[in-house]
Amino acid sequence: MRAYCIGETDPYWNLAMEEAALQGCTEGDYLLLWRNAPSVIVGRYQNTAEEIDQNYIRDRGLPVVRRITGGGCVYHDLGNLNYSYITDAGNTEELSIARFTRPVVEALRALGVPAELTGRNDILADGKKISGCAQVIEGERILHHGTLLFSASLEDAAQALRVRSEKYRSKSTKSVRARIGNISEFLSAGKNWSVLEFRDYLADCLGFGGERFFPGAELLAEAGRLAKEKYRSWEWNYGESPPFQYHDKKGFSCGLIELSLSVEEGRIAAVMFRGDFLARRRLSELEGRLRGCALRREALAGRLEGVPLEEYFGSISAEELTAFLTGVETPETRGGDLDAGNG
Amino acid sequence: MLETVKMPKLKADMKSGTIKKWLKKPGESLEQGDGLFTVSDGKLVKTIAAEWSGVLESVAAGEGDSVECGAPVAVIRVREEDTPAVETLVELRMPKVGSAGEGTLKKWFKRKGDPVAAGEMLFSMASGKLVQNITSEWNGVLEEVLLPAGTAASAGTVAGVLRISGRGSRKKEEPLRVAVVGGGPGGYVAAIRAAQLGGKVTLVEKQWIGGTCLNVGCIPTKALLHSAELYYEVSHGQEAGVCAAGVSLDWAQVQRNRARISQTLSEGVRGLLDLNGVEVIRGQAAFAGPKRLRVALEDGSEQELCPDRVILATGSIPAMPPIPGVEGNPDCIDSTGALTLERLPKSMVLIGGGVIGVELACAYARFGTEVTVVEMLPRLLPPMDGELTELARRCMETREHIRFSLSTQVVRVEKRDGGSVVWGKLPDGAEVQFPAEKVLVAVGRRPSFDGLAPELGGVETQRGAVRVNSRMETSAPGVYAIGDCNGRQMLAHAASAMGETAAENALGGSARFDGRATPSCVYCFPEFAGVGLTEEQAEAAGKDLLIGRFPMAANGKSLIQESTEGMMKVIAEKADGRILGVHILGPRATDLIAEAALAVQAGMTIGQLSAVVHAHPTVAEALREAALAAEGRAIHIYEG
Repeated sequence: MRAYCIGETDPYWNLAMEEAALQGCTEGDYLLLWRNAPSVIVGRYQNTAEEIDQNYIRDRGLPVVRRITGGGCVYHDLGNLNYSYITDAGNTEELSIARFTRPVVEALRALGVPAELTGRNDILADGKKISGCAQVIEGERILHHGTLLFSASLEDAAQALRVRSEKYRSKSTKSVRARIGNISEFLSAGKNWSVLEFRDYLADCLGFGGERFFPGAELLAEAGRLAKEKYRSWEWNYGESPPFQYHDKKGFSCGLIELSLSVEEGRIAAVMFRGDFLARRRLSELEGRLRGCALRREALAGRLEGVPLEEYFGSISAEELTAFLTGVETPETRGGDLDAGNG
Repeated sequence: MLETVKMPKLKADMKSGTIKKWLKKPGESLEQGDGLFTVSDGKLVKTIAAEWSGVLESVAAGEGDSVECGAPVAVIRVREEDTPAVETLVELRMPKVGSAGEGTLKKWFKRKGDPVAAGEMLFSMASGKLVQNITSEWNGVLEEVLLPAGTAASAGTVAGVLRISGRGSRKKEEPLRVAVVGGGPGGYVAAIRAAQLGGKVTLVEKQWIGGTCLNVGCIPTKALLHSAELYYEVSHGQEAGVCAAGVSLDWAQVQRNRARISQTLSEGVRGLLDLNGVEVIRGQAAFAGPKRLRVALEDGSEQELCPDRVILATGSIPAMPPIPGVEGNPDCIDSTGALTLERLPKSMVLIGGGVIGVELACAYARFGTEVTVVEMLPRLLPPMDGELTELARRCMETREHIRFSLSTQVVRVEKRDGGSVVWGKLPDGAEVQFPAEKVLVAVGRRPSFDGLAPELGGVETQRGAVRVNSRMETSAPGVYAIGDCNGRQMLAHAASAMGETAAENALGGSARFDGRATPSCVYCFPEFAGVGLTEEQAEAAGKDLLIGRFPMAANGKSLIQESTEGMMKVIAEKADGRILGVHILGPRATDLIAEAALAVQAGMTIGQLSAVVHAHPTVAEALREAALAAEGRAIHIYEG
């Protein structure tokens, strides 16, 4: 086992490094230990918009990054330590997640943490979830990674992740909310460890005292490329969401507008407006114009430029319509009651 | 068979393509993979390769013509044996991961109809927190999507169907696992070649390394023939001035020598397999599914193999005709029994005048056994040249004192005291009887795959043999069949050549077996060998022929060797002198045929052959003389 303690805390780069290592380190066993600055990390087949509180995230400027493993959405900050195993998957029919999680449980127990494994492969202490995990198999190799909440802000975590919304319909992977806790609460007396001391302990413990590993120039370059081209891209983080439907209604000064959206690969596949507003032009024109547009502020603004919205709806601004379509308010649109019109 | 080539759809939005250039002209022959034409769709230019080998029959569009996608552009007359394997659909299944019996197909990376290259991602599934990306092992086209994205299904459910285009090749760094079933001259050669090409090879053999050939076929037969020849030569050396008194035959030693030779060669093969890193498993293999083999090991346990490629080389067994009185008769033996007789019989009747029967007849005749060959057909050695076969028969009758009863149908065998009687019926209805101590039934061999259950592996058989094309591919993707079990050319050296072909193809190469210049050898006295077309076959093909004959009596070396009965015969095409076949009856004909095989394989003319200076004095000189004779200019015979 070769262990690599990543110093970087940029979530885009860290996730890119993890993928680059999975693709590039095709032989042997690797352990990566890393932390992300505050960010939200979404599962491979989740609908990003459905999982996060977009307004909170926008206000805080939190990166939202999709990872290549399954599972649900998690909040990361520097009090959360991530571990990644990259190794041979072996016979996948006999694959057991416990092969990866048991050493973690044992390492935690050695510190006095009453860690136990659940059927969902979460690690609990005193009924609180302190660690979750996810995997991806690529060819003969497996990446198993997990979080270890050591001294994370539990409050921020609760806020960044959205409570299930009725507005979305999709076959995406849904996150399961759990009561979470920090490992530092459970450490035996006298162990006033920082998260970095905890990391070094795990590097020895899970790395079986093996050699340290530092990526070569090639791996670093590949991680840089992936970070830039994939992990920083809207197309990956939002566009890769499974197809979903979105329904909303909201009162505007022109009247109540009901919205039905169908989104595929991040783009509007179909859109329909209904309501008690007075339309002077056929709405199908506008609906047709929006088809194929990426469901993101910048793209929508371009599509709506020069469109006489008042002829379709009456009094409504392009910003208001964009906020309505994306579900993300802007300071301009965020007047009064945020939940107005919510069914 | 005619196959239509259609304008391909190279991109999802491509409606039509312009043919820029034809790389082949009608009437030109082409091989699978050869560039056929280039097509352009605006900026994209692509060369389209032929999917079939054959002849370009016609083209439906000229250069510069725009053709709608899917519309026909050409017709290829497919070479029959290259018809693609029938079963080229591969089911894509949901994988089983860990204890979870179910997963959700999350995403297809390909749509129905999309081309797929080996190593490309097909679909992705998730089970709990695990994502697994499934990549294609094959080149092909996604024929059908059965599980749409977002559907949950249990492990093993067919998610889609891939139509693979002929040969699939896997783009993987790790070695391909190759299982070879059968360790005969086909199987062991395939195993060694596959290992040379980087495969991780397992060879399953149920009985003998070296197979029939080394253990109960060619090799022990020739060992017996060698003893017989020596015995004869020593006893007949008076003419050359060698008089040996009291020459005797130690039959037990003849048998020990035969066994030792087989054992030495078998151990040699075993050593080569080890040196090449081939794992050898002793047991009986049976298909348990596509490319899944279950091996019943000698100790009673079972081992399962899930190789990426399978090469079947299960060989053949002696055919036993349903002649009344054969079964259960201890006097009746097959070729295997004839090699291991505990004592030399005084008399022997051979049912069957094929290669095996004639060779064993010669061996036993020289050991002093009274030999009779009973053959149903009016001639011996059906695949050999008729004229020389007749000459060979006369040699064996006069010099070896073998009795032949041709056109004789064996009706029954009757057990008597001290032997059996073979009852035969002549064409005029008269019954004849041949009493003998031993009756050797040698009517031929038939492909054998007993216990293999080819149908479970998706391997089609036809008339008792595994169906293959010239690449040795069976109907099951990734499964090859070589040697006697495919019934193509039931010869050890053909099996070895097929084995190399199959190994090359199994590991991503592109090889074909070309049997046109496979020599056939009969180790009778004198030896008899042929390559290419016989005179009968060449005539049946309607060719104008040049035939050159040269009698061994006019060859100095043959005279020295006291073997002057034979003849060299060269058959060439009149139009261009191309050598179509060569047939040799004479001393060491089986070694001499190699030169002729080279000439036939290389498509040489009689002029090219006779331009080669042949050493003197050799029997090989007679081949050049026969080539000269075809043009009426042989030096050492006068034809006035």
